[in-house]
Amino acid sequence: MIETLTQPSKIDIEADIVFRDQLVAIIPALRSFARGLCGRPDLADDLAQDAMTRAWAARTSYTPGTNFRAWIFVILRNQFYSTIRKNARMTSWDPEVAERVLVEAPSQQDRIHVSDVAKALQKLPAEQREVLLLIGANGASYEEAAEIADCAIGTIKSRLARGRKALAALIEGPGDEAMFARKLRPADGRSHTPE
Amino acid sequence: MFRKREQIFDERLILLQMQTEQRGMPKPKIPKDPKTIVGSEGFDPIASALRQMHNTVVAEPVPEDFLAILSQIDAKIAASKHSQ
Repeated sequence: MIETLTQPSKIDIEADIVFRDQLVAIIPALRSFARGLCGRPDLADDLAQDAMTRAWAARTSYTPGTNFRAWIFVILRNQFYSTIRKNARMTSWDPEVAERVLVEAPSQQDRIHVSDVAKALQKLPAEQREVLLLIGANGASYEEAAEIADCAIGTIKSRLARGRKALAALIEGPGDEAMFARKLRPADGRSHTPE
Repeated sequence: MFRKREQIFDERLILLQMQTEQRGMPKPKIPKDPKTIVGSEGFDPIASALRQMHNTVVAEPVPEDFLAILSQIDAKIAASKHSQ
């Protein structure tokens, strides 16, 4: 970890305490995003811990009051892409990891297994997977997802639409896509128009 | 009776979160129920599954390694205070 050589002021220490509190609060979401990205709990936790350590070392580059989740997710995402370039294991799915949990619709008509979605997710291009995770799992807005993925909002919408379509095809086959053809939207309820 | 390690870690995390709240920081968001995500347009199995994947990880006990990192950070903060 990088430490300053000069003596920290009271303001610096207070800022460190606030930063540390934000780290505590973000751990569950950080682990979830990492797990979704790489698909393996052990590697995901390594990734999340690495992101925490890097975030602490780079804490002076964070602007207080700005979106902390987006800031630290960028660190984790960069580390993920850096790691998969070096390590092919990060993209492999371990079928024993997820329990086979049934997701039931109130109508009992549309049902899929979480483990099927998790497995299919790992077969998608990482760019589509991360958008599905950010918006579908973490409830990020298009703007926040675009900030994290370092691309335009239109690109996010396009990746979301293509990722969702591919996910449905992987789970149920191309012929049954219509069953899953509803829109996946950010938690703020705004709909999107794929490019 | 000895408590399980995971229970102790959970209690430590809750304590850390309480300390965070006392300092005026926002509480960590509690995930919504998967069935409430899609609102009035109907049930979306993919959105629900993604949300459930997220909720499952969020509900897990935080592994010891994470708490060890926080302990190191706390030690550095304490050292900074001491050096003033």
